[in-house]
Amino acid sequence: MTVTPEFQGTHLWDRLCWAKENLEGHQSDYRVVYEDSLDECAKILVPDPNWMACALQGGILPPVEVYHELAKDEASEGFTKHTRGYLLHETKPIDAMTEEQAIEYLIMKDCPQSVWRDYDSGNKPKMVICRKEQLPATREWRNAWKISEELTVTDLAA
Amino acid sequence: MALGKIKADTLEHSTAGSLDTQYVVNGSAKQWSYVNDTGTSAIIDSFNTTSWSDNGTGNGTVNIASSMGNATYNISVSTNADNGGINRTCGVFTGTSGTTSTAGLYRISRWIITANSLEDGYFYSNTFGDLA
Repeated sequence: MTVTPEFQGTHLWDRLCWAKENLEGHQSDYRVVYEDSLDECAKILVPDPNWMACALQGGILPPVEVYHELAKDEASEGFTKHTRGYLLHETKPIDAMTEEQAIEYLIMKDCPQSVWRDYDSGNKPKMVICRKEQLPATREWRNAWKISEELTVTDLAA
Repeated sequence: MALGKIKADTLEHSTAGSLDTQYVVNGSAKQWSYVNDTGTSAIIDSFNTTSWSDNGTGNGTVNIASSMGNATYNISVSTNADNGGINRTCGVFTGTSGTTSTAGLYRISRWIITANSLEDGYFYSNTFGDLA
């Protein structure tokens, strides 16, 4: 088994270079369907195979909270350039995740907070984790895709 | 990092002159991805990418793992043509505000030129610029 070097303090980009060289990509069957606007169709988040390999390996990726800190900086008035990029590189990398934990991480990184913070508190779920074979087989009427109104939070918990 | 490391500010050739290594660092692509956005979307291969968000017909978002320094980095996108080899193009999707990209993501789209409508296809994209 490939052993991850001690990466705390190493630039995240360099860690990803190492991962690309040493880890086999992992194509996940999971997809995240989410709606972040009433006026737009459902979006589908597709995990990256090389990133997923990093998540499963452990010791490479920073905690997801680091990205939230950087997003706060970028949203602040007068932002011109990140000055706390070191958070990505100097924060202790997280341990190996299961594929399911990696999907949760990915949701918190790449879906808007308005989607995942209270995904199950509205009239219908704003987000569903599914397997790719559960999605429509063709992309017909893709711009009209929505999460089913009949899908309840109880269904999600089952 | 428990790997070999060469530190150098300059690369020098015996006859062809020298090159500041900053040119190499600044001139390297920082992220790239090859996405099949037909059928069930999938990222075929990539570097420094966390995910692809399929936003609907012919458009999606590339999410970056090691963030860029700000949103003013360069993005290059290309796509597959139709069977005749023409009539498709692609670009960075900015919406009406022109500010869709952030340090951690950018949105791209692909469309049929003559029909002026979006269409699903393949995306090949990369970014150049400063990392955070």
